[in-house]
This record gives sequence, structure tokens and C-alpha cells, in this order.
Amino acid sequence: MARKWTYTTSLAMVALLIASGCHAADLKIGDAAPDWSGIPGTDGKKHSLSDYKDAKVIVMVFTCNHCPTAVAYQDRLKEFQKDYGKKGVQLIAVNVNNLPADKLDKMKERAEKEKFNFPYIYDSSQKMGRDYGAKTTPHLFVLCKERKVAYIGAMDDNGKADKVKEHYLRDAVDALLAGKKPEKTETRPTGCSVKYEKK
Amino acid sequence: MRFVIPAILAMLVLAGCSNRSGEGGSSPAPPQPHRKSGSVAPEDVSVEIIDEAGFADVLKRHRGKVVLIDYWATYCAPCLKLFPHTVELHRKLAHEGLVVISISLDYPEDEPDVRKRLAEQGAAFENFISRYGTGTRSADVFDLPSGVPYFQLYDRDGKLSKTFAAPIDPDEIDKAVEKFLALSRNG
Repeated sequence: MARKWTYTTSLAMVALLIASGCHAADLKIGDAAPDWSGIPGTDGKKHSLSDYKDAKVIVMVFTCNHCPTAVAYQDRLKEFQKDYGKKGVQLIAVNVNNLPADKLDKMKERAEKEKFNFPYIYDSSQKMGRDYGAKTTPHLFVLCKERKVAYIGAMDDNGKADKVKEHYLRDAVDALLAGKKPEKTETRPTGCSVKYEKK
Repeated sequence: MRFVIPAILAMLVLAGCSNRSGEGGSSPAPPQPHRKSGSVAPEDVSVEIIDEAGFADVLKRHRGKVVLIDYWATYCAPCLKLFPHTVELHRKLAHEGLVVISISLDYPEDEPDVRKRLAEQGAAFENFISRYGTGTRSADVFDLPSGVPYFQLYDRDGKLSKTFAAPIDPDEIDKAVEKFLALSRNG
């Protein structure tokens, strides 16, 4: 009887582990970037990771419309792309939230109003978020030329632009462009939680 | 037993709603800060700024009790939606040995707004604002792997024993709190 109980308990634990699988699949520094393709963008086109094969560095930013912290970073993302686009870096903003404010039509409005100078793409299946282990908006994943994960975390150390002291993203990308490994490869982003739907 | 507490909580929530809606009704009951059934006066809300030293101190001070920490921010709609549940847990289980604490990832200068929100929610427990606001320093100091809402449950030895990240099911918090309180009673 006791044995049966243990068996049932361990089965339940295994089920729990599988249910929380998005955590187990978290990417680590050096992992190959999970591929993605056919993701609609606010520009009306479908985007794939392979479309950007010429980029020296890719910065994937999991973000969204509704989160005030994500909004607070909009201008910083634009500035980054403006400064680094000419150096062969491509920033791609990805939304996996399905709140009404985060749907593609609202994303289009935002991208047009704010004149985003980078693709803003929408994966309503949330698979991209789960594959990368994005938990927060904004949550950044920097991919080096070989499309391995080179940096995971926050863009900088503060949600308020005027309080920023550490520029993690710029530092990491500068290092990669110089052929070096970033000094800091992981930070903890703060902001809003990614709104995953229970499977 | 498992279903008793959620049932009582549900009743309390319902009772809380009817009280609130009765504010503009026929019974002109004056607000009684020490007997909250809804909001409290902003000046009666305890709000302090917290950093790593303060955090260690808080956890140490409540050693021997089960501690639930609600991480939130005024800008976070899902946090505000979950907050009444946190308030109810405190109201129902404080005497059973549950300590409820809220830590806001707003900025120290947002204190008036944070205080206003807490007053609306009737947060009659210890409330804090992170000295470091929304940033990586807060995430490091408070051990936050993701954005808010986020909950931590510490056991009576002060050990972080369970965390809740989005999507958060309040029933799961209830179950865990009840389990930890039961362990405290039996142990």
C-alpha cells in the first residue's frame, strides 16, 4: 500500500514537472538559438530567423504592448537599433501575449505610432516564448553570428531611462562585435510577467 | 479541511464586496481603520523603503512563522487583480501564524501612489517599496526570476520553499499556505 502511494506520488510529481516544462526548457548561454519561421509581423510580412542570416548579431526582445515597463523601453530599443543597425546588428521585437491590447492589430497601431525601426512580430501560439524561456517583458536574448545564445536578461539595470547606470545589452553586443565573449552574460530582467496560457 | 478554508475565504470575499457596495447605501457606518472590510485611510497604511539589509531583517524577524510575500507594482494590472486575495489571506490566516508582506517594485518617489493603492486595497500588513524600483538590482536582491506578479512563500525556518509566477492560480497559493501552516502546527 505504501509502495503504491509512493508510486502514485512520483507519477504526480513527474506530471507536475512536465506541466511546468517551460522552465525545464530554459535556454542557457552557448545553446543553439531555437529556430522560428512564418511569424507574422506588423509590416504584414512573415518573418523567419533565417531571413536575418546576414546579421552579425541578433537581439530578440520579448516584449508587448500592454506592459508599462515594456513601453518604458520602446525608445531605448529604437535608439539601440539606430546605433547598432549600421554595425550589422538586428533587433527583433517579439510579442507572445494574447491580451486584447497585445493582438496584432494593436501591435500595428503601436509600431506605426512609435515608428518602430525594427520588426515587431506576433507569435500567438506562444511557442517562441516557451522555446526561449522568456518570462518577463522585456526579456532579451542576444544571438551571436553562429546563432548561439550569448546574452540573456535585461537591456540595462533600470526601468527608468534616466536612472540607468549599466548598459548590459550594449556592452554584450560591443563585445560580440569585437569577437569577444560578453563579460556579463546573464542578468535578471524585471517588468511584467509573460502571460502564458495554461496548456 | 482542505475545502473549508477556500469556502470561508470565498464567503469573506463575498462579504467584503457587499460591504464595499454598501458604502454609498443607507447605513452611514464611519470607516474603522482597525476593523477593515475594504479600504483603509492612506495614513494608516504602513509603507517603508526596503533594500537587501531590510529584507534580511524582515525575514529574520518573522522566523517561526510562515511568510507570504506579494511582489507587485502600481503599473501591473494582474497584480492589482490578485491583491484582494492576498489581503483576504492575511485577514483570515494571520492569527494562524501567516505573515503577509507586500513589496512593490515601484520607485521610492512613487510612495504616495503606492500608499493610495494599498489603502484602496485595505493592506493592513507590512508593505514595502524596493529601494531599487523596477530593475535588475531588485531582481537580484529579492531573488525574482521573472516579472510581477510574483509570490514567495517562506517556511517557519525562513527558507524560501515555494514560488508562484504567472499564470498564478490563487487556489494554488491557498493550498500551499494551508499546507505550510499545517506543517507548522504539527511540527
